[in-house]
Amino acid sequence: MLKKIAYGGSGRAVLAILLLMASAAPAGAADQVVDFDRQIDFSAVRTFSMHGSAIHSDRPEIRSTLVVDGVAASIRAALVSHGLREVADNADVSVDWSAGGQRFTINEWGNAIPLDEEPGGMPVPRGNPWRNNPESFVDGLLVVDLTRSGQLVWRGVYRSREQSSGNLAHQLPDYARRLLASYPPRRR
Amino acid sequence: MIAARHILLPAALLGALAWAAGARADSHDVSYAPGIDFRLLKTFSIRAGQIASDKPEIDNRLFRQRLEDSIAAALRARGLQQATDGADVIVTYSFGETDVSKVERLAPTRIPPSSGARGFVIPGSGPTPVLSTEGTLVVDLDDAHGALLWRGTWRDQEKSGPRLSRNLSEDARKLLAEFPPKRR
Repeated sequence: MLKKIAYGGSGRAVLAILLLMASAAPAGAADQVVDFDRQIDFSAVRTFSMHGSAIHSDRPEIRSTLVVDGVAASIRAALVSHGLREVADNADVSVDWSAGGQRFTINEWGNAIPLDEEPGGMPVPRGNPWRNNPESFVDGLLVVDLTRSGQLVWRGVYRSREQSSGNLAHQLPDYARRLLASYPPRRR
Repeated sequence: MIAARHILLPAALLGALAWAAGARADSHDVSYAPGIDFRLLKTFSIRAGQIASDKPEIDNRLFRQRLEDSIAAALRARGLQQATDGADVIVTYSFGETDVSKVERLAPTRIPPSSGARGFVIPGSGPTPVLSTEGTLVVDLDDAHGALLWRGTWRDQEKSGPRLSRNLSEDARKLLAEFPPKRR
């Protein structure tokens, strides 16, 4: 919101730019990274099979067969669009994926307090006064792995901040689509 | 009408602030054993490093591969050759990361800054939580007997795990650009 002291008409456009700049300051924007085995010729990978999936969240919006099916369908569609074919056995690569969301609440001083116990992270103590606060935002995560003979050959990790667990559940298939847009990796 | 200079200067300042808020916060340190003639070191080998992270974008063999490739390329660029055994220098690395949480507040901004002139006030904002990840990469160069010859430490604070993962191999390259130490 902009409070006007006195009106200077010619400043409107510049002020609009200023507000745009202020709002463009990064606030947990979506980000992704892809790593791959430099020894693998991905152009020779022709077939895939869907292997395993995991949801690391106890939120019913996310821990749902609808989400599992949606993400799996998105991965399938992306790989097929890159020329791969799904097979039941003897695939060139197996696809595993996992998704999760770390929920946060914001306390009265503006601190972000994690509401979930992260694997390997610090649990939320029982006596934590914000433990039962409502979620303010969720840091969403999707990991897609391609393995060959049990060895990881491609991993994509997508993280983004969502307003709620429900939003994250709806966005996860899109995370998969964006991650696999960078498949196959370009050799440098 | 507001003079252009009254608008452009605060605009530039705000832009710089917004850029600075999103900019990488890196720091590094290099130390080395005195009395060593680093020019005599001609070959190196890399040992498997230690990675203490539960982030999937960092805790995997492909990330290790990328980091080790970057270290090897940096040392080759400094004139050393990679050897399988009997190397003059043994390279080990370790990496750890921790999540950092802080609170940002933005004070109201008056444009132009002088209170008597016509203009606008952009209200302050916050408190706003800002989450980031701070990673610490340590690269050690030991001699064949295990004595530490050179240590580089790079701290990189990023807004996201993927960004930290992407930047670490470049961080390693920049760290090793300071090898060998300049003689004084």
